[in-house]
Amino acid sequence: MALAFSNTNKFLLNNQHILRSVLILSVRYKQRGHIADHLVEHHRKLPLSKVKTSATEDVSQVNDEKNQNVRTTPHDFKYVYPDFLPNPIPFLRDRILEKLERKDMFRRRQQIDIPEFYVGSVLAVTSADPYAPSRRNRFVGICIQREKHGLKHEFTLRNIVDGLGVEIVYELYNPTITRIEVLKLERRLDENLAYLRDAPPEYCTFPFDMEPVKLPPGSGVPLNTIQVPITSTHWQYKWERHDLKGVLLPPLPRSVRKAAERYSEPWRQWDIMRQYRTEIHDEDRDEIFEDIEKHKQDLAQYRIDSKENIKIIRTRQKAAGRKAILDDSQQTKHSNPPTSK
Amino acid sequence: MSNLSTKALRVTVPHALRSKLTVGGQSERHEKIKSILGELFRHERIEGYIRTHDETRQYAERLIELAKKYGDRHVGTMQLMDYWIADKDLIHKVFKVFVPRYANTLGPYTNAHRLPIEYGKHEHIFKQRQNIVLEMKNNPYPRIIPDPRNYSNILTNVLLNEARKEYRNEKKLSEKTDI
Repeated sequence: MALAFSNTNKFLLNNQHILRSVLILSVRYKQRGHIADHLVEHHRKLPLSKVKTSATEDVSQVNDEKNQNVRTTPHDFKYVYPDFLPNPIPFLRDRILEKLERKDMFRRRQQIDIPEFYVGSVLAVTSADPYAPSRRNRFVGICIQREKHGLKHEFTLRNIVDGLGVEIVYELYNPTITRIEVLKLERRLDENLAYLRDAPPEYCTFPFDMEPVKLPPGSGVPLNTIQVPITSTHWQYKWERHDLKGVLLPPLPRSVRKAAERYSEPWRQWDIMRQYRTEIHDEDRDEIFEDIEKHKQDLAQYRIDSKENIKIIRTRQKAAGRKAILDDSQQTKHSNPPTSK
Repeated sequence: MSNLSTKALRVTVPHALRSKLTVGGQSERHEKIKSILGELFRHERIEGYIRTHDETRQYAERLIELAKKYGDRHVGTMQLMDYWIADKDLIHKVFKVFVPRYANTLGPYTNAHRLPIEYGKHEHIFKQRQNIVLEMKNNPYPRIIPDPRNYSNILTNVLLNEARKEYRNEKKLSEKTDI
């Protein structure tokens, strides 16, 4: 047997060292819930373990050389059509009512184009207003919240007009709305941007003649990771307690920080049954999604039909008179000789 | 975990969750559920108070549903598993044992049976304490409720019986000839 000293421990021979490590392994193996070191090391090196952010959002990183900070999110059905998702509280649900409401929503969507937009995107809404000189009212603003389910879905636009903050709550399916334009399509880090009320005015000021920002085709929805400072001395809500990501809070007194810590709910994001009660399950979602897909096909057909109708009307108007059309039709009848003799 | 969703669970989910399982708030409640979950996944059949164990049953169902749907490559699901399962070898058990076992089943993955109420055994003598047995389905233990079906007329059993009879007869004959 060759006598060789190990590098790590000079008091042990090489094979003794191996024996000791084996012994440790066998002891550890019996410990409850123990995972072998090499397994842990393997998982530590995997790309999965490099993700440090929580799994609340599935955000894909765009590897562009120019803008590395731009993150995009997928066009998910849940986010594109939040108005189609019914109230998740089971005893408030009514399947037949939901179906009928969906039908009405589709009928409204035949009349105007309701584009895809999110909380954080800048919209321009034109609505009928009997008291305005041009019978039209166009309002531009950032969408700060979307609430309610189904046909009652509402969104709030905020802008600053002449130094005064103005918010208008629009019902999405209100028939007095004649046009909805998306001037800038993007998402923010939060689902509700009510904190813009306490932010400096430049963060929610948008010119009424703002030109629409165009996105390259096939791209995801850009996620704006801007952090808005809160400068107001009188806050509408206690923002420090709401776990907001897009907010830059001023230095707070110790008592307020302690209270926020006490009222924080870090367990909420892990409570899967609490979350289960506030979501629409897969079967219902699939049903809604099927309806939407069917509606898209119907809508395309409807557009084709309506275009053809317009063409027919135009040809009648352009013709010199009813007599000329009749003459044309008689000529065509005469020009087609009977084939069977 | 707002982007995770599953099918509707096949167990009864009350419209409000039992938030007062323990003293000390929601984090303590989670600790309690975690400990019961660990026992359930390790031993596959446990016994305990209905209030805690029926609540834990929903969490176990949902975890297995998520594991079935998203698999072990999904970040959010793995974070959830990491949070809810304290003993990390049980995460391997969930993905390697439970997911293949329940791959073809829709329904509940657990069984719950009520036990008889024993008066005078607990801290408050005059109070009832309903205990249940909670188990994973298709576990290796003998069944709690006996199987009422009669298997004696199944072809394999009939053939085996006949073979046994033949063997005995042959043995008897050989003994007789030896004598």
